[in-house]
Amino acid sequence: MKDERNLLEVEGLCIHFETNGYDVQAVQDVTFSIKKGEAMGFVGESGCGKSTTSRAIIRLLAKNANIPAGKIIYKDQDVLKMSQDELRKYRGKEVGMIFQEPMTALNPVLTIRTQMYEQFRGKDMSKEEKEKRAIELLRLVGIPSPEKRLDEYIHQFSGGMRQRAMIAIVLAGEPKLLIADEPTTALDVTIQDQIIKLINNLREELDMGVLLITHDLGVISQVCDKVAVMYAGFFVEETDTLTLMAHPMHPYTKGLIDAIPNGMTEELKPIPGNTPSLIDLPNGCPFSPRCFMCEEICTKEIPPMVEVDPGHFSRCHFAERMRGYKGVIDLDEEGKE
Amino acid sequence: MDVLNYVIKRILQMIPVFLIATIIVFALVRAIPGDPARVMLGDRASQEAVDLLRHKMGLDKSIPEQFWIFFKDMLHLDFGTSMKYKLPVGELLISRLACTALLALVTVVFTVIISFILGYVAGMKKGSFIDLIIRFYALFGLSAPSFWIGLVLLDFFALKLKLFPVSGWGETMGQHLKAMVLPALTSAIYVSGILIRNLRSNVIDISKSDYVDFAISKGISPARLSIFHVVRNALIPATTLLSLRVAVMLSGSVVLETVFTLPGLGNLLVNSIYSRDYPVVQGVVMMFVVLVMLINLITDILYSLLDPRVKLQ
Repeated sequence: MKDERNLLEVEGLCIHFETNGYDVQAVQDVTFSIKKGEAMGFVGESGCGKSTTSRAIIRLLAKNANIPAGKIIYKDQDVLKMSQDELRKYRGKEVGMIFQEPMTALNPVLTIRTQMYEQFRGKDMSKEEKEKRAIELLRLVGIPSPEKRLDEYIHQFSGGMRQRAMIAIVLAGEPKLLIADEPTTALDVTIQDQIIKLINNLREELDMGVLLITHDLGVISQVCDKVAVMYAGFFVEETDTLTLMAHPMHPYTKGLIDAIPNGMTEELKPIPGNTPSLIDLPNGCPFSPRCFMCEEICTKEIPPMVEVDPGHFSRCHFAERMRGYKGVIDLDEEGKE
Repeated sequence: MDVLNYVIKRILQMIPVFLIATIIVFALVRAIPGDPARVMLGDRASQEAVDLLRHKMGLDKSIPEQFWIFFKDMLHLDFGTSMKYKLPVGELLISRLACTALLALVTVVFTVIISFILGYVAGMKKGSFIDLIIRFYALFGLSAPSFWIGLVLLDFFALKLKLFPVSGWGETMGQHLKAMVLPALTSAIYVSGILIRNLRSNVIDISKSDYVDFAISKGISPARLSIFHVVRNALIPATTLLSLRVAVMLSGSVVLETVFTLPGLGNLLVNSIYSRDYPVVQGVVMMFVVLVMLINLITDILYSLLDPRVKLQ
């Protein structure tokens, strides 16, 4: 039996940044939940608020950020109201975070051992137990000769091994929810694939919830059960991964899917225009200036998040028009179950 | 073993530097206009008396001959006899260096304590009122003349409160240390001004770094975060900066030695130049050469210990 309770619930989350007198609305009205063992993906272009949302979950926002509305509930605990003491027990042990660039995310002057042992602090473990566990973890993530590598520094590792080392350090805290912020972006393609497989295996083996942040729909489809597409701080579409790839119900998602090179069509179809500045969002739907089916209402009213199919949400006035549009996979042929 | 090999290699490299320095020092001292014998005996002395003294001091020999004697004696650690103090130069140097080195040591201790606390606090509380005050202190320390700071401290702590001696450095180690407090503080106020600014900007950069965020995301304690992640990394550039200052401190400070009447190297060198005391000038400068080379070596080794990305080779 699967534990059907939600591990993490985020409700109506808004995050604003104050910079140079501007009120930057980085995240607006974001709602989602992750169950134990479930993998959720955030996809979107840079600056769409996906990293900001994930950092809010672990309370790692810059000092100029404020959260005017919304709730983050982890296992019945209100994360936004946690004391420093509660946060210390929550971070690392309940929710762990893999950063994009292991070279800068690991301390250059501390050994892997030291940085790994930091996760064991407060646990009743002997020196031998710590060492044994550390070696076990390095082996689990596929680092060869872990006994030797334990006392090395991050600059002595190669690109893929660096990311593995960071994953091992995060796992040392035994998090129930793993946030991975662009874990493969800094890696070359073959190593990307290995790291994705590693995250998938770990998730199954350790039954962790996963929140994967990426701009790559391909990565999402390999890891995630469900996915939220973010644009200019908004969730614009949310559903299970297969449905999203087969029947996108938002023009931005369609744009993202069309932009995936598939080897069949001769040229890429980029989405015209650029992401809007968060300081100066267009009126109405933030995607309207780039949208191929924009109409008058789109420039006046922000569309609400509507459930177009059971469990399939889209933030578009004309989501229904998207019905019948085929994505990259054909569900009817493959069969949904 | 690596470190030992490295040290041997570096010491071998010092030999040519030392030789070149010897020639330059010898030549420069003789390039100072004025005849030591004439300076010593005064304008009214007869030419015969001056010639006699020149002969006694070996100044009537040819320059290469003089250099050879100087060089040969130096290899035997014999720097000659001071013309003015009538003491062996080696003895003179050691007694003066003891004072200057102790002053440098106490200064470093004060500087490290003041700078790390203030630099860290200013960096972490960037933009706050306390940051403003610390930055003002740093700027003040950098720009206020040390003779003035020295006199103010002397007036308050030595004359009014009578906590420290007004002049001299006493006989016992305890007295020496007590006498060093005010001059070291004076010097530390200046040096910490330099160091605080460096530490503050490093702490600001580091606290924005990914590895600090990652450490926070692991839920480690604030104390561990500041010591092992922030200060540990801010230490690296600060060490280089401080070691450069140590080299300067070891060459003595005429101002501090004058204000606090300390028997240090700074005054010895200046007075010896005035009186054309060739052996002392040569001895002091050669000692600086060796000290600077040693400090550079120690700094490089320290740097490689602090930063594993730096390899000794």
